[in-house]
Amino acid sequence: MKYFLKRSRLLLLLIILMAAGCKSNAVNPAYNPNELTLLIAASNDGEVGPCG
Amino acid sequence: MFKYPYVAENQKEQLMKVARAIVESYNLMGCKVMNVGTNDLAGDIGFIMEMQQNANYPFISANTKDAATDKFLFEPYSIIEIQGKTLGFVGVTVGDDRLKSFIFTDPVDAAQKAIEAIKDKVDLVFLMANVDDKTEKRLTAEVKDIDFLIRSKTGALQRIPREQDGTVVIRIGKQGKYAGVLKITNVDDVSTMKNVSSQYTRIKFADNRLNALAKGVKEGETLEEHFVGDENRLKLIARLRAERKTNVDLIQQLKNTYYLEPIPLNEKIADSPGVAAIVKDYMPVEKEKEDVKK
Repeated sequence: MKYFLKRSRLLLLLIILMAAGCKSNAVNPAYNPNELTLLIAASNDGEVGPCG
Repeated sequence: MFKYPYVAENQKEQLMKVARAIVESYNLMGCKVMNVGTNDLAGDIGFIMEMQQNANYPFISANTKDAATDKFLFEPYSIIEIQGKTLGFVGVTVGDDRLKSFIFTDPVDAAQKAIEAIKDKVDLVFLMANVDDKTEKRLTAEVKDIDFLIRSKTGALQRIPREQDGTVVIRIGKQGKYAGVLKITNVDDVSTMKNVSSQYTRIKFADNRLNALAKGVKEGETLEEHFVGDENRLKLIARLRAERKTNVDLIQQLKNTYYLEPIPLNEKIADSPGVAAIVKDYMPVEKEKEDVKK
């Protein structure tokens, strides 16, 4: 992964989104059933989101 | 999809392959919308239209026109239903004179017009802004009814989003090294957005400490049972549980709260096998190595 990250900034955009994969569980979603979770990625190009 | 708003002729084929791989990857990830940034147009009209056709998600831009026809090339916005809420996404880009096939109308006017069209149909308005700092300031100062402005074309990563003219500005840039997980709770139409980062931080801190204490605890046994007789530990556990509950209750009671967590995309994040395969296919050096091995 690190190798790919170092390859180029252009490819970074691709790799990051692959890695994120909409699976972050860093914060327990059980805190609140009225909670929306969006994954956002932005770079020097356009933005994508939400994902998952 | 491209690093600059132009493509050198001798690199064109390779860079277009990469752009195709990016769209293919976004499809696999289930992306819901993409704002077409100025650099995304470097492959010219035919190529961006091909990319749009290949994508399973909409390309949006409220201010990008075909110079030959003077017609807008993309939908100005996209409305998405998530977890019972309706979210509106509007896209604008700053443009570049080197892109001769395109005309870019004023992002501020375009954003306002698109937001006017959706604001009564959605619970939250997101403006995806591929703009410079000066235009970002104009957007927050002049465009009404934006809840979140998601900024690209910036190297800045702001861990705690800024509030500017009543709009929450999210900058999660820095060469794509981070993705942002944005949590929004108890959406209503009247309350202003409130940042609850400190509450989430305290909850995470309490969870981490409680998890650390739970190491070595038998299955089915509570922390209190495990540390019975250890007054100091029992006091600590009680304090952590109380602190966690206080912060959870506060988040549940408040309306329109948000929390942004930047996720560093490092080796700790597992690669998705499907996307990893696409990357491999489009990495010429890696592919050559593979071919040599075979």
